[in-house]
This record gives sequence, C-alpha cells and structure tokens, in this order.
Amino acid sequence: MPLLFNCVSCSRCPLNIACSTVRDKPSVDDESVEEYVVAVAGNPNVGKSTLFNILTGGKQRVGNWPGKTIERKEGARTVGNVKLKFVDLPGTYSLSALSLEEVIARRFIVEAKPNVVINIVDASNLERNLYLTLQILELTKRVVIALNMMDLAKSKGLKINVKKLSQKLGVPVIPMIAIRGEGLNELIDTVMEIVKNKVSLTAFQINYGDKIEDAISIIVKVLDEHDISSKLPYPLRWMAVRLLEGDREIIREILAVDSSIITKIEQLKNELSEVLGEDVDVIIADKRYELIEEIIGDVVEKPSKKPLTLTDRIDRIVLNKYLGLPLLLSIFMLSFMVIFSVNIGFPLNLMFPELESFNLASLIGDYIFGYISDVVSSYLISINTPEWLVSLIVDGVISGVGSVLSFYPLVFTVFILFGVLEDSGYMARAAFIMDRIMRKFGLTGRAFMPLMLGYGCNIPSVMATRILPSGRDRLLSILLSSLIPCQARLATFTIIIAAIFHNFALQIAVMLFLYALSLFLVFLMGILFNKLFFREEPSFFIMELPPYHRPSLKVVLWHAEERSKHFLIKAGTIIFSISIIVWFLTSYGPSGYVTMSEMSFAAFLGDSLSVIFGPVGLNDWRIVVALITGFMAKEAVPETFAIISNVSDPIEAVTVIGLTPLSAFSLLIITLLYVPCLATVAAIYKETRSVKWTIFTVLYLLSLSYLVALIFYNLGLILGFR
Amino acid sequence: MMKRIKPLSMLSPDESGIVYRIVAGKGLTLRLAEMGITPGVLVKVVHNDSGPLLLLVRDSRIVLGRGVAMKILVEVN
Repeated sequence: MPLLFNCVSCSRCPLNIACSTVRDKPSVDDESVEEYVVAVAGNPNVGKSTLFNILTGGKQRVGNWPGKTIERKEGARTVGNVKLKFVDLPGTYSLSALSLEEVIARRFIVEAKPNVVINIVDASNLERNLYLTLQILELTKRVVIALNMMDLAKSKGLKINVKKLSQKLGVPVIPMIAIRGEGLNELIDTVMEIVKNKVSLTAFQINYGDKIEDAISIIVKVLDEHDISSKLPYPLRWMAVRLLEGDREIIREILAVDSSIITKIEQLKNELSEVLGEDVDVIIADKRYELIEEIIGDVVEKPSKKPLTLTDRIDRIVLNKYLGLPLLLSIFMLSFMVIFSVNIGFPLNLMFPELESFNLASLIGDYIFGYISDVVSSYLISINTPEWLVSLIVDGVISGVGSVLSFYPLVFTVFILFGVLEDSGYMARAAFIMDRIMRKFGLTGRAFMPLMLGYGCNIPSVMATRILPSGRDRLLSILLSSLIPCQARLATFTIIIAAIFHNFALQIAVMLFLYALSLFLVFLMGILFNKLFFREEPSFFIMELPPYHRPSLKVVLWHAEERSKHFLIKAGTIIFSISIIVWFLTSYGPSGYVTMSEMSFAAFLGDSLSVIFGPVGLNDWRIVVALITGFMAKEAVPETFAIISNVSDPIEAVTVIGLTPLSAFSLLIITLLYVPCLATVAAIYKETRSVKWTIFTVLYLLSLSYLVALIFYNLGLILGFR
Repeated sequence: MMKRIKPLSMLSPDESGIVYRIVAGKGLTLRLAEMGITPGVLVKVVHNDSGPLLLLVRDSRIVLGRGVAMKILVEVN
C-alpha cells in the first residue's frame, strides 16, 4: 500500500513504522503462522551484513527507511510455524542520535518494538563494541549478543568467558564465526527461546554514581508527573539519562509535548555539572566505559604481551609515509589493467590482434544477443509480421536492451575487484592515504571509495556518497562523480579510438590522456565548487580501520550484485523505452516509415542542432543524434552510429562516419564529460532531492564538455592537426 | 617524571598519552566517545605525518583528521 502523503516527520511517526511492519504481514495467509520481528544491530565492520545474509538465506528486500536515503534491508526465515522477520538496522557505533543512522536504529528499537534485537559484536574488539551494546540494553532487555569473529579473537590470544559475559549483561551470548556459518543454529534457537519467553532476561541498569543517580530519580519523577510515558514511547529512566546527556532529539520531542519540563531539567543539569566539576554528559560516557572495562577485566583474558598482529605489520608498509601513495597507485593501476583487459580486451587486443574477439563485452553483445536477434527475426518473418514491427523488436528493443546487458559483466568485474579491496580492509587505508590529497579540493578521504566506484558505473557511485557524514561532503562528491568515466564510456572510447587511430602507441596515449583529463578536472572543479558553494570546512574525519582479513568470495559477490543491479534495472526500464524512441526517430520521417536514415526525424533533428557543434568540429547530424542517444546511455553512442549507417560493426560504423582524427578527439572529450546518462541523473535527483542541484549538474557538465572540447579542438587546429 | 599536556596532533609516532580533555562541541565529543575516545583513555599514536593521524585506542585503529586531533589534549610522561 503506498503512503498517501509524506510529511517531514514521516520517519519518526510511530504510525508509519507500525504500518510498514503490519503492511508486510501476510494478512490472509495461514492463521497458524506466528510472525515475529527481529532487528539486527551492530557497529560497522563487524560482519553485520554477513550475519544478515546467512540469517535470511540471502533473500532480502532492499528499500529505504521512510523518507530517508538510508537503505533498509529485510528478510525472513521460517522455523516450524514461526516466521522470523529480520530487519537490518544501519551500522552505528552508538544510539546517541548524532547521525541519521543512529536516529533510525534507535527509533526502530523503541517504536517498532522488535520481539528480539540481535546485537552483533566483534569478539576481537569487545571494548568499543560493548558501548553500543550497553545503549541497546538500556532500551530493551529482549537482546541476544552474537559474539562474532571468535577466530580473530583467538588469533589475538584473547580468551573470552562467554558464560560470564552473558551473566554480566543479563542476556544470552552466542559465540560465532558468521562467515563460516558457525553458531548460526544456536543463535536462531536462542532467538526462538526469547520469542517464546522461555529464557529469563534481566533488565540491565548502569549505576551512574550517587549524584547522577539522584538527578535521574528527580527527572524520572518530573517526567512521570507530566505523564510523559503516555505521550512518548521511550522508557522514563532512559529518557532521564538522555536528557542529562543533552540529547537534542529527546529534548525536541519533549518540548513538543510539554515545554515546561525542559527548563527545570536544564537547571538541574547545570547544578549537577557544578557539583561534579565536569560536564554531566562526559561523565556519563565515562561511566559506560568504566563499566565496560570492569566487565572486560572479569570476562576477557588478554595475553600479557601484545603480539604484533599481521595487520600491524601490513600497515607499517601500506601506510608508510613514502611507500603508501606509490603502493596505492600501483594497486589501482593494476586493478584497472585487469578490468580493462577482461572487459574490453584493451590493451591486450591491440597488442595481439588475434585475441580481439575475446572480451566479455563483445562476447555477450555480439554472440548472445546477435543470436537472439537472428532467431527472433527469422521467427517473426516466418509468421508474416510486418517489416516495421520486426525492425522495432529486433533493431529497437533487443539491440537496445542487449547493448546495456552486455555491459553488466563489465560493471560486475569492477565491483568484484573493488569489493575485494574493500572487504580485505584496504579501501579504508586508501581513504586514510588519500585524505591529504582530497582535502585540497574540500573532501575527506572517505569520499575516495564513492568516487572510485564511478569507474564501474556512476549510479552506485552517486548512491555510495550516502556513507559521507555531512550533506556538504555528499553534494560535492556527487557533483564530481560524473566526471569519472564509467565502463560504458570506456567501451565507447575503445571503439572510437580503434576506428580512428591506427598506431598502437597513439591509441594508448589517447586513452591515458582521457583518464588523466578526467582526474585533472575532478581536482579543478573540486577546488572551484569548494570556493563557490562550500565555504565551510569538510566534515570531521573520524574513521575506523578494520583489521585486514582474507576477502570472502561470498561477501564480495553480495556487494557486487547489490551495486550492479541498478544497471539491470536501468536496462529493463529506461533503456527499453529509450530504444523504442531512438528506433522511431531513426526509422520514421515526415514521409512515414523510412529505410534510409537520412530521411528520418533524427536526421532533421540532428541537422538543426549540428550548427552548434561546428566550432568543436562535429558538424554532422549523425554525431548529434548519437550524442542525444548517449544521454540516455553512454554506450549508445557507437551503437547509434551502427544503426544510422546500417553497418553491424560499431568500429566500422565510426569509420564510415569519416571523422578526422582531430574531430574524433573532440568527440572523445565530449563523450567523456557531457551529461551523465539519464539513469545517473535520476540517481542524482534521488540522492540530492533537489531539482536545482540536479539541473545544475547537467548544465555544468554540458558547458564544461563543450568548453574543453572547444579548447582542444582549436588548439589542435592551431598546431596544424586535422 | 614531569607530566606535560599537549594536543594529540603534536605526539610523534609510537608515543602514548592519556586523554586529558576534549575541547570540542557536544557533537564531536559524543562522536569521539562512541569511537572510544574519552577522557582518561590511553591512546597510542601509530602514524602522524602531515595527513590524518592513526591511533590505537581500546584495541581499535582509529583515524582522526588533524583538525580533530588538535582538539584533544593528552597527558604525556
């Protein structure tokens, strides 16, 4: 059921959350099936998505939290006649409501009241992980701790007394190695026991010390007198602690229902700070860690001498002042070499022409879809389908969708490789190393990963900016991300370069130039935008470096699948309709169905626009039409040449167009820089939720591409190139 | 031995200190707390050249931008 309206506080509205929980229930199904909601909470980098995947058997529904651009994953598992519905809460370090993620996680626990909360913690790093655990336990006692990465803890020489930890926290603790599925059955059994109330859970309470406890009692009394518990869903004691900590969210919510309380509490807090000689919020955070240290002291046996871990040793080299950056560049260069050779055969196919046919793109594009086209068209002709309809289905739909699908494996390989870098822990190091450089154009190292994803496909790149902590960082990264050439653009480059430039060294030089140009412009525009729009400093850079580990194939595949699926959706929807429009424009003219594309609407449209392209050496209606279709999908540029010139091989088609090397160069620059594809523009709108910034992105890229092409084309003319 | 108080950003690699005070707004103080950086905690600087710092705090490796590290005062032996 779609929401009827969307108000600003939608995500906070208990009605909304309750609705979305109820909405998904099988209402008419078997009445005997009991359904329970299980939330999965934990820090980032502790194997939460791995756990979620094995809990749900990999089948999950991905959506957004209401009104927010933060991903919400759900999945289910049936045990006997019980259906456990798992909801993945955003990975957070606390529930302090400092970020949107924390607000969402907290609200879900409080408002949707899940039957069980699974809190996954990293056994090798209990101290910091338990901070979140304590905050969850302060909210609900229906918790089970999944003590993950037991293997890593063991290799660090840690001995954890699981039973004692469970006693201390008052809830069950299940040791696990999620990536190998170890402990999964015990975890599910325990969840079932909690659901059926077969296990005793003790409500956990932190003793904050006499003075603070007194204050808490007073506040609880005040809240109770004002009957707050009937107006807000939070436990009273918890609210009292949060008020002392100065939680803005809670203060705002209480102000909304009863404004008289806050002044009383502020006064109390000030008095308390004076007595204690320090800010109350600092003392409260301190108390939590004090308790954690106490628990750890009782439960964990640490080796007397800390061994130098593998991570320490690798980091010494990887993060070395002098080696770090060259190593990073080599790793990414090598990744690109692999990606290029697998995907488009470049540069291998140019060195060894006999290998040319072996590359994923042409394999799928030419063979599979070529075959489908042949079969479908001969079938359609055999049943006497009119010529125009055969043309629509074969030339329009199949070749259009096919051309996008043939890029799926290309995008997929990029995400596999980047997934390996990410899962191994290297990507976080790259952010650390790149921070210094990225600061020069107003971003922190954290924006490195989203920008890198752009080399695969710009859509996940735009979406990945969600990980950045401030709106300013997100917007700036989005503005720059479209300058990064995706795989579709890469394929277009190879086709044009192969058709026009015949010297191998020149081919490589042109390709390198395009990539260098894009990087240069990322810097230049970054500095420019930073000066123009973003006066403030980039957000604070605080990040955890996870320990290195061997990347898991499963995790890497999940990531690649999730990131590349946007590509498939695009193929199924946007490209489908665009193919039909392009087919129509090139197959119909004022005189009706035409076989000569010179008579088509596209030719007239291109002709009228080609004047503008004169100054950049592209005064040809076919190029204009190709650029227009390229807006729908960049890979459509050579494809359109092929359709218009009626040759099947795109390289041959580019040759037929008869571009001079200089105008081909100009076309390459324009293809590199002009508007990202339509699907990316849609993603930009979705992430920024601003028409203004979306239009700005399109316009700035259009003008930039024209300007840069103009400069290089005229420079070329002056230098005597043709 | 004399105890000295200085910003975390001034510590050299392999040097340790106890966090003495965090001179920052509420948001940053809490962000640091959730990453384990609170007054009284032992921090060890692993890397510190012109870029961000890498620290060892409560068994985690935490990266801090220089701007943040300047707001954290530590007590060094």
